[in-house]
Amino acid sequence: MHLEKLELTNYRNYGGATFEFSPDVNIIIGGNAQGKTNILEAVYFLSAGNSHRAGSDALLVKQGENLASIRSEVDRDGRRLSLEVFISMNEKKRIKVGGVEKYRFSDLLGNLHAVIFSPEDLQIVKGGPERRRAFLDDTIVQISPTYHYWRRKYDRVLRQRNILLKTMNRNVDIESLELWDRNLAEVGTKVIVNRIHVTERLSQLSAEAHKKITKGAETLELNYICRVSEGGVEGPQEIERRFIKELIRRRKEELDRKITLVGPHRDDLMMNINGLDVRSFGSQGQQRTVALSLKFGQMKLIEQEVKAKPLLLLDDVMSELDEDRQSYLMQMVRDGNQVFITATHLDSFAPADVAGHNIMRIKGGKLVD
Amino acid sequence: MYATPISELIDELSKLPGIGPKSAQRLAFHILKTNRAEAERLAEAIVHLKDKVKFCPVCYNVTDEPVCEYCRDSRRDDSVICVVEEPKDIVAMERTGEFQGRYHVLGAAISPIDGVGPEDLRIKELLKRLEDGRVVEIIVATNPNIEGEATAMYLTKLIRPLGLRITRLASGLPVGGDLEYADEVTLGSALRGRREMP
Repeated sequence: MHLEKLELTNYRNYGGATFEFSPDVNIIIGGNAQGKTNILEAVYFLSAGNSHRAGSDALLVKQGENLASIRSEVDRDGRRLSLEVFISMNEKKRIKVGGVEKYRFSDLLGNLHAVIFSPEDLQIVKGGPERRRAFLDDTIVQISPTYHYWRRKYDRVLRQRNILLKTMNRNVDIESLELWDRNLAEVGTKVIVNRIHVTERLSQLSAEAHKKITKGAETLELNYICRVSEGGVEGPQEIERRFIKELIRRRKEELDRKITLVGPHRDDLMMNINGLDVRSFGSQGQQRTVALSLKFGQMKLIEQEVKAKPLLLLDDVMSELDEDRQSYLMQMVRDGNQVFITATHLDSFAPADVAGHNIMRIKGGKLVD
Repeated sequence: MYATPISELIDELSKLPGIGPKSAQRLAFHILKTNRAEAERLAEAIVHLKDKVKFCPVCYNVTDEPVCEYCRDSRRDDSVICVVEEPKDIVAMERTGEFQGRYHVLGAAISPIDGVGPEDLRIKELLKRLEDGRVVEIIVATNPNIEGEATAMYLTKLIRPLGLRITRLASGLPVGGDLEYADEVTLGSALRGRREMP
């Protein structure tokens, strides 16, 4: 699987630009704010259906324009497939797969797989629990065709239930609340089950990467922290049953605070090194390494699940890493994946790492020769 | 800024669902360009709609008769009521030609986001229709989204004690479709809702 061609129109700082890529390593060189990351972001968008950094799609449309597009040609085992995304300021985004318009956005997912490494990855470890939930969700979306549906449905149920809690008369509307309890538990259980399953796999794969990077000194372990599956449970029915029970137990508190307090939107991912919580006890260097290990785990998991090597998007990470981790990274990425690396200068690479690769230079939203 | 009559029309049009300020502006100028007779026909059609069309007092379908055509039709089966969210859902059901019973229109689905609770639906009216014991089956044909499902759940809870048969429209594979082209969510739903071969 690799990306052959990318065409950006009114996307971020690109008015119109076409890029052709090598199936091996592509190095994108340019100064700050010239548009290097925007290329990686667009590639990632094709795989995940959202930007890895912008909260709103409207931010992706070039200032003063109405419609942005990302068009691409992907090679899948020798078969060419075009993927196109149209992002409008005032309408829903549209997609075309193989030239055919698809009405469900989730039809885009699963056609191209990519893992992005960026300086912001550190926030998965250091940031709030929402960063870790997003990391899990972004991983699952790439390997499970139905997860996007359930995840969106959960958001919708949660919103309905929160609005009900804010507007309801607590003496008469309890029956209505119970209706949404059942919905929340049913859909929430799907989310929890997927996250538990993926955490188990990620834990193993990230631990393997972590062991290699630290030369065997550290053992990384991941645990999905979820109130309704605490202490281990016997499958989805048991989780759903405990979910309902927990909603009843905390009903008074929910009514007082007028917000949903039970469910996967409150869960977290715990990361331990040699049994200690990295968030509280890890050094800055350890936290950085854990972030890197998580991404390698994600990469391996996608590779195993889709039986193809995902694209690796390395956004300005060379400057962040010490020599050991840099060399480990370069060694890992020379494994047959198509790689995209951005950097401000070519001399941030060891000469051997650059030889024979496709080098592109970017300035002010344009490709320069 | 436009002259007052134009901006008034634009304001009114942009209150319609699916019409943004730009579309409203385009429509307003289109109407301005048409001849007077055509504009009058449009205005009349709107007023007629409000004057003539009423809700059927039995099923709450829209009708310009005292009672709607489906409630009037004596050949239809009184023992089954199909419950839908909106009058347009009746039209969809009728296109199938498969259903010969009666209808009941709830008017909406339960949705706190839109400020719609169970008390805003025509549920009391439905329960009243069940009192004489002629109805033996309720088909819940609300939409297969979370609001429609919540509404179906609520209705079921309310009607179950009456001892009627309560059914829900199946969701799953499109007829004439191939399994391999079905999306995973639809196929999963079809699998969960599978039935015994007769």
